[in-house]
Amino acid sequence: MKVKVLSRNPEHYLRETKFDIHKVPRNYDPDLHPFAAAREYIRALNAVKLERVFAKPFVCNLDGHTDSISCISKHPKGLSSLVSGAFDGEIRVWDIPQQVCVRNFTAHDGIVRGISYIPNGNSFTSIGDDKIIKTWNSLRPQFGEEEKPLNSILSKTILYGISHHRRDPIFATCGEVCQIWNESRSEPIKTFQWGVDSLHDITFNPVETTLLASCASDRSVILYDMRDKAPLRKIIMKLRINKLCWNPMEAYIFTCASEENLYSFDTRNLKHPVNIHHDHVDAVTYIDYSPTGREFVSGSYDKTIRIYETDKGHSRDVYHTKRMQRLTCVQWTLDNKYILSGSDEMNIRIWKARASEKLGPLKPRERASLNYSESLKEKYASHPQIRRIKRHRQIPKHIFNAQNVLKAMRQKNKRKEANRRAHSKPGSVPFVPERKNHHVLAEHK
Amino acid sequence: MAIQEDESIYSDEEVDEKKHQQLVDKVLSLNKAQQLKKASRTEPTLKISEFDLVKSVSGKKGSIYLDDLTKSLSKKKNVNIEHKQILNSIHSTLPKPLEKPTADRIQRTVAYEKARLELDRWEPIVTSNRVSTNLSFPLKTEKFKDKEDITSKWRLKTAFDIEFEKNNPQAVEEIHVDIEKEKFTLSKKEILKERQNAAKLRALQSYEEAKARRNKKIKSKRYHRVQRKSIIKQQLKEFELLQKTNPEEALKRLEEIEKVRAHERFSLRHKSTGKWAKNKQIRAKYDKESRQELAQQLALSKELTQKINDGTDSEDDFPLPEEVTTNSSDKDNLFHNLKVDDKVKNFVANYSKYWLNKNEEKIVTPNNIPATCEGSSTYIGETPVVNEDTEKSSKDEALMKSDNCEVISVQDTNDSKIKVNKKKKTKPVRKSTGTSDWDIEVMENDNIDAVFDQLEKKMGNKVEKKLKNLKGNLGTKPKKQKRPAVDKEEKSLLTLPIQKKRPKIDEPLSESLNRIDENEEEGNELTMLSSILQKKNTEIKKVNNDQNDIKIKVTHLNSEIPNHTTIIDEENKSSIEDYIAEAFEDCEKLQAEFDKEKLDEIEKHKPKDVNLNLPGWGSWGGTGIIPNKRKQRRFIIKAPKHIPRKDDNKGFLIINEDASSKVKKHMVNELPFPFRRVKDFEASIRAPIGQTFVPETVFRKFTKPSVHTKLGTIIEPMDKDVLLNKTNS
Repeated sequence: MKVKVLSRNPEHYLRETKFDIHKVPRNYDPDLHPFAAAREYIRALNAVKLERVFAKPFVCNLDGHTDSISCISKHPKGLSSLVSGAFDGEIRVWDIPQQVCVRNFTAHDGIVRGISYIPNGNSFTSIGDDKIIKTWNSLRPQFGEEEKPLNSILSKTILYGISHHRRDPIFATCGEVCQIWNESRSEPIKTFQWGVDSLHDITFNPVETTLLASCASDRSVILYDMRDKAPLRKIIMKLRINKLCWNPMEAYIFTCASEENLYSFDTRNLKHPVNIHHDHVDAVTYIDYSPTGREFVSGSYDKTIRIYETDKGHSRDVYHTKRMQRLTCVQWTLDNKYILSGSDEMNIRIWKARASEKLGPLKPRERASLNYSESLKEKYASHPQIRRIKRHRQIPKHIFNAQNVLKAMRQKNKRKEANRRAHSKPGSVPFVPERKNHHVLAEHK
Repeated sequence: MAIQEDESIYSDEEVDEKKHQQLVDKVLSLNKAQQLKKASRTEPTLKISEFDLVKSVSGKKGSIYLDDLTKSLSKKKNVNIEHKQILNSIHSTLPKPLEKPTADRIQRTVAYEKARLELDRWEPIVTSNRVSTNLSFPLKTEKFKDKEDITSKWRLKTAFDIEFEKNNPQAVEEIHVDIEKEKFTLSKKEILKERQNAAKLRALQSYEEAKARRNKKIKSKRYHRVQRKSIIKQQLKEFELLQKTNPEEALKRLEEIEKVRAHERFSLRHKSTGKWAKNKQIRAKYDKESRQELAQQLALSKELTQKINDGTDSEDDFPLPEEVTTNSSDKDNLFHNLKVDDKVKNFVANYSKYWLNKNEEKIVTPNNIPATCEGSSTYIGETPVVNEDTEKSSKDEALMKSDNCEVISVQDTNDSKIKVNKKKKTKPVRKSTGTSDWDIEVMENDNIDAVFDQLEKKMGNKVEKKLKNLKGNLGTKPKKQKRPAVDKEEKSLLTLPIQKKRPKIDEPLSESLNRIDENEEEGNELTMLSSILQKKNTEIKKVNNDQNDIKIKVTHLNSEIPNHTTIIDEENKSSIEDYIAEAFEDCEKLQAEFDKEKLDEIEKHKPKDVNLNLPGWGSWGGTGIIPNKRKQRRFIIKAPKHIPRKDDNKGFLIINEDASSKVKKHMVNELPFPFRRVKDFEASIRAPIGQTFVPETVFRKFTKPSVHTKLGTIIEPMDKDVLLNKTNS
């Protein structure tokens, strides 16, 4: 008779050092793992706790400007450089990995209103309150040479915003009117005007590259097609739109930052927003999409940065520091890893886009384990403890208080509506979903 | 006149420009008033600024006179003629142009529509990207795949390879590239021919369409009747022909016709249209009995037409949308359109009878008895056939599909003994000699239902298949169904099923101040007590009522440790009674112990009084002062004496009501969003994804991140190349 005996050499499974990685014999028979779900739950719980432990999003701070930062622009072809403009007319070029200012010069009299790199990144264009459009070389001038613009165009109208076409040597400015310029011409090749209100922001669609959108001070968003003679359409919102950003992966979706809320729109149907993103307690001043088009970041007058997933109504994360004041501009870097923010108190901050992500290259085993914990968190996301730990954040007092005020206001409205509904003929006060609740006042054809 | 004079002056002598300019300047300088220079532009612009214009270019004081310009025209003869011709050709006045706002609006609307259509092109790719579970950025486009890349994969054969190929030529896979096809694209002639063909096809199609439309428009009932009859006639003819040539096909066709008839009959169209029903309806007005009968009939029909709910509740069990569509397309089938004539009915009945008889004959003849199992004949199985052979095999309750020689055993719970030997005996040898593919079933009365169910299923499948075939044969195109009017918003939205089901949670962050609430712990006890007090009255009543009909649901966990029963040693224990007696020797002692334990448990979980008394508050405090008892008592919140417990009336049972409170806070109390059933959600949680529980490859698949990016790589916005059709390359 043959007897089989299970025997193992402890050398095959005991580790002397952490580098001894043995093959672990496993039996996947589900009957042998009766507590699989429970064990995974504990793992998920640990993973989510660790996520909060490691959540340290702040990376570094670039200081040097002597006035509040008005605008920043990221290099379209490189990840390491960044241009920023300030309210005193100064422009600074930064080297992000070194965390130093490479170059600084006074570009405009008054505020630098906008900066935009040209698509190949060889030069950048800036506009200011002095109504001059200046093009600068990306390279530093030689020793002894003076900072001089490559080209400067005197505009006849005030300029508030600039946006460059994704590929062609064409850029658009806004101010009194919307103008399309060719880089080689000193006169606009096209001018759009609809109404008399000033336009404070303009953005080219990065995917459907002939489309543009601008925000006007009469609380409207106007769409243009570069090829057409007239603008396409205008919507008037309840509150003013401060900034608009197109989704880089979804040609027809754009999100605009309004006072308090952000609204995502489908260009093909402007009657109602596709989604409303809450959580800011003050005016949202800036928004930028992540290059994957799955998320976007917004900076606000309430001194916080919030990150949203495009299909959700509430923020995924909130960043703040004690010293960071009102945000003027936020950008998501093109490698989907970092967030750059410029604020009122003259600093540019760099944040991680995912607060607890480990920076730098990962070893395969490490990556596998991180992926595992990530999917565990996803799997058990609806469990109350995991949900609670995942969504818990500390916030400054003024935001907490403002949130309470807003909550009270919202509840008041709700209660009032409920009362009205209770005391009127059934059906006469219908339930209106939030998305259809008159955020868009009018749509002008 | 003035110009002419000027001309004559300039034409006479050549003027030095420079000198002339100097002269002009000097003359001007005599006049002390400042002269504005005319604006000069180098850049072509669309918009002319009012400041750039010279004053009154076309006015009387300006240097250009319109009259002079026209005069110069008059000198040329042909221009004049053309001008006159044009003038003559225009008789009426042009229509008044639209007002500017209206015209602008129209322009904008058109432009917007155009842009909207352009954006619509992105819909599929956006939707697919949204739904996909894992995307790798930067997104791969064809642009990066150059033709050089293919060649880079090729390599020269090594000596080993050549040797290897020599030795076993089968292992070498040869790929032949049709060079002729690769090289030459279509010539111009070929392209033209192709286009011609396409045009012809299109024209043909349009003719057909027009014809169909014309036919459809004919209102005459008679015409349609004649048409229908002729179609039926033709069908019958075809069928007869088919019967002679291919009886199998004919049978199929017959079945099809039968099916159509059945459909027609059980559709609600013929409800209460029979003679009997009509008579009853007429009588119902005056006769109570007939009214009752009619009501009964109605109830019966309702009962029969009610949907049978299986009680299986999983998303997988939902009727597939495909099935629905096939049903709807049934209507388009030719057979459905024609009403079943009596003629046809008779024919069908006769034909099926004929086949039935034929089969029965076959079954009865002793030679063919074994053949019943082999599948040579047909048998429609309501009438039980009593054969020696079948009787023997009936104990097995085996259901045989003769065509595939499969044995499906339908087990009854009562008789668990299935003898393998017998099964083997009845298992037929594959010797299909029959002409038809009809099924033979041997069955018993006990499980006739199961058999019927199976039959139905099979029939359903077959009918579907046939319908498809038939449709293909007849070449009838399914009619375009009228779509219900959909909103503009919904129209454009493509939907794809979610590939990976995970709970989707959209809720605000729970944001708090940096300080953790410390009062929470203190207040806990008080709130508990107050809640108890609130509940107290209602709960006692409730519990008293409920006590009778509390049903405890016993759940069996899969993870339960199996019972290891030990076998009693018969040598030691003479009888079971002794054994039991020994076991319950100290029963009373145990009972007393248990009672005490229960009392302790109850005592432990009793809520205690809460003392809110602050010494020195409202009265003097300190050593030597006895606090007022009455005052103290006022600040004690008393706990209720008796709080109903679940185990109150259950003698030998302690129910720990707090035990679940620890687990409770970890449990999900609401079904998360994409899930519709608790069952599905539980299943999703139960399935492990870890390396410890599933194989490595599966683990990799499960834990693939939804968004993958490369370190230090710029992610460009989506490119228009994605939209291009890549089939040509």
